[in-house]
Amino acid sequence: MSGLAAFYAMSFAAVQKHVAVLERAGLVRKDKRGREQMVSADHERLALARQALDRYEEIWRERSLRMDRILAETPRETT
Amino acid sequence: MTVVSSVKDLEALTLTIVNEFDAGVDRVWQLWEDPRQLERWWGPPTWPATFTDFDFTVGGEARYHMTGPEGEKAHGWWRFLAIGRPASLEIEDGFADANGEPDLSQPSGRMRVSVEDLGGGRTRMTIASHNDTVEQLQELIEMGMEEGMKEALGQIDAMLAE
Repeated sequence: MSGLAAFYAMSFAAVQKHVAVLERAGLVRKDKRGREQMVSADHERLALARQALDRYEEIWRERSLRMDRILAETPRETT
Repeated sequence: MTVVSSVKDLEALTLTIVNEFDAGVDRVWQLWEDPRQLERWWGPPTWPATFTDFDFTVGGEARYHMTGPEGEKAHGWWRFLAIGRPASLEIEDGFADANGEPDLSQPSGRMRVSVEDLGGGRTRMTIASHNDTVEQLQELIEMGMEEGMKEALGQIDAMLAE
């Protein structure tokens, strides 16, 4: 993790925080190797996350269309 | 087009979707404030939503379920974290058990809604929806997916399997 932190213009603590968020989302894994914490991307999970977000977007697009239809029912002057 | 932009943040598992509507701010706000209107757009026609409790106050909660084509029910809950009528709204949302009681063993999500007057009777509504885990997102998809789409995907699978 200290090696990872060296790549970014942010503090070690900040990098740690980002990794923790990614880990909680299940997108990276942390493994201990000796005294070092190794961080690796979980590519399968990343693909799953991408797919899930794409589908979730579809759901919200459908919701938007339904909202638009409901709004169209109401004559403007009464709003 | 209603949706003017949509941004997916993979790292934060957040979807931000921006809509522009041909209606005034107050009218657009009612889509969230009035549960009878809300349930007309929250679920797809094949999985309609029913809000059984709706306490639209800060700290207040809502309970809803969605009913599938075979009568199966998926339950969920909301908590209103912030209400800034008619400009902003923040909701915590989660899954509930078969009795409609919040299932607190599962992580909850957040929705932040902002509503902006564009003038000329037009309104912009931005919804940022955040989830903690991929599993949570997948479960929400199961609940909200248009049945027709699932059927279509099933048919494609069947055709490919032939």
